[in-house]
Amino acid sequence: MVRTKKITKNFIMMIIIPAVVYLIFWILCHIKGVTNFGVGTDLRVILRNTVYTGFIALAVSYNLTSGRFDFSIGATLILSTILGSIVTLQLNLGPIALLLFSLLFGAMIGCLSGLVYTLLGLPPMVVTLGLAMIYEAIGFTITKGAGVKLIGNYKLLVWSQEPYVYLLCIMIVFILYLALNKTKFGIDTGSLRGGQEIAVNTGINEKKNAIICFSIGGLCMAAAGVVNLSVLGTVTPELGLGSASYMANAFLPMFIGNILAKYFDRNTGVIMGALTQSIIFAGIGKLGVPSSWQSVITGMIVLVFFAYSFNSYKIVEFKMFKEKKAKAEAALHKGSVL
Amino acid sequence: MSKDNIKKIILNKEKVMSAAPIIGLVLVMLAFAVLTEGKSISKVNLKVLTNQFIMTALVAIGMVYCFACGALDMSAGGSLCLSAICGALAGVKTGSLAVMIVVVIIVAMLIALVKGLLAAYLTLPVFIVTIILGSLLSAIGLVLLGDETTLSVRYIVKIKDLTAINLIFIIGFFLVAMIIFNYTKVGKACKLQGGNPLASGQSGIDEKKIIIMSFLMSGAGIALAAIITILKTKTVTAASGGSIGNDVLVAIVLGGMPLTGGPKSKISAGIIGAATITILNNGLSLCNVSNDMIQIVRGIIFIFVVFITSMTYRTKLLPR
Repeated sequence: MVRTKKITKNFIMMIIIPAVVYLIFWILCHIKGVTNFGVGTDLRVILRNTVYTGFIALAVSYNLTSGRFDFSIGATLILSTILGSIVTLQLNLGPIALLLFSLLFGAMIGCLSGLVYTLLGLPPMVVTLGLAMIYEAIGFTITKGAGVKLIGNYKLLVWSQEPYVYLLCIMIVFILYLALNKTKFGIDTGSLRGGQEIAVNTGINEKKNAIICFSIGGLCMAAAGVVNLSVLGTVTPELGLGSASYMANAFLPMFIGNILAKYFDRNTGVIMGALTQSIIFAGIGKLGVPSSWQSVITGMIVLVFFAYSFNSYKIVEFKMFKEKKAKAEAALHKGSVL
Repeated sequence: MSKDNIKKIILNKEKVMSAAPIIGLVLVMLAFAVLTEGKSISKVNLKVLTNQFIMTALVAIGMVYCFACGALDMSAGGSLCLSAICGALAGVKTGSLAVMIVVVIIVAMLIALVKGLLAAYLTLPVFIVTIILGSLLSAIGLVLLGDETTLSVRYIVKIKDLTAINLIFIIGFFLVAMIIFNYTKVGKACKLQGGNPLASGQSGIDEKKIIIMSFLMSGAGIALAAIITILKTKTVTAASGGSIGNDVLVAIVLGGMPLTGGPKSKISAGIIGAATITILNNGLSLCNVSNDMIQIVRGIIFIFVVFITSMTYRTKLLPR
């Protein structure tokens, strides 16, 4: 009974943020006379964007929650998708090969970033910044700046369509759920997040863990890249660290995922965060906000959320202090009465 | 070389390390002078180099303050873009060069103040916040531009030769920044703050004040760079500022600045690094190396330089 109650409570907590946000925008849209928000095609676009930004946020979350900032994830997305597409086209293979090759290249690039980071022992931000420059330039060089164009090649571009995009999301989130909650890697990751020095002193191999985290990050970015390629039909190489823009929408889902992690699982929480963000973006669009304003509003929302998530402990501290003060005053009062 | 000499060199490892950025700069200069058969040090090219160098150097010198405090500000591009757009809008409206310059300075300093307040009072990880803030500032710039894509201030800016202004800006700002950084309480507190925030707080330094001050110094650098941008290009777009944030990051590292800040921070890192990266980019272009290959070289040099300069402070745990 207690267990059922707990499961129900956790389930409600997992879905409450996107549900409330959806409801707010649904009401706002109906007040404004917009009836096509969050249904039919609009809902499908929201879900597809959820999968895409969810993968990016997952990639960021595996390193950032352990204090490692991976600057190269955008460049990993571009390079892995370019390499995956080129090999698939050369061998004249189908969409599954496109996905698998891209995922393989993504994991390999992530693994390489992790190896360079652990071997050099430099701050991850520095290493990945340098690597991002190199990955971007490799992607640019091998396609001679033109990128990969698959527009019209509908046989290959299935990973943004139903039900494949959902299947891909469920498959990856399920694997990551198992990895983070049911394996030694997951337990080690949790320990290293909690206290790096204590975890290392208890014998956890931090380097191995970091390399796996980077590889998972690369794999998730490749998955996001394949979905993005299927939507746009092209991958455009970037130079001058332009690839950093890919991670702009990763932070809000990641922080919502952090909050929700205690109720069920971090990976699912991040996807719920991505769903919340996609609903906000779609809602703002439907309310008729000009596109230039949309970036400003969404940027402000991310910033406010970010400030809240980093300072929420201060509110708890303040409440605790107040309670303590009240207790002490009550005790003092009691003492004086006696 | 005798054994004693080798011993001396090993003992003076730190000194050698601190001279490495200057040696690197001289080597890069010499290498390209040879490789380009003197083209890189020709009069015409030196003028091109100076123009490219000024922008990066102005932002980098100011940014040393933030880096020294341990606050990696990635929003320099967005800040420069928004202050330039606001200034240009004010200039177009009033037709006055003075108003334009004043508005650029006010906006750049206000943005710096906001960043400082965010970093000081909300205890947010500056690196991530400034990535978000950078795109937010550019987005605000786009909103302000409205339907226009390019704002021309050609009829307000009548200055043709910028050499004197460039020199006044760079020498003046470097001297002021150097004096404050090396000889005043603010500079010393900045370095202590980056080295050990706890010790800094316990020794009576007002942490919040120092962080805000360092952002204001970097804001001053951005304001000067924004003014130079407007005077040089005479037009402002949403892409003004562009990748200056990343250029500055690479430049400061090449200048010998530890990215974690602290007592080893040097104001010279801004100017030496900006010179190295400008000569490197320009030299590779003169050697007909394509942009993508230049980027690969920059990436490798960036990692290599950080690796070499951080050899003295490696820890058992992986750095975060």
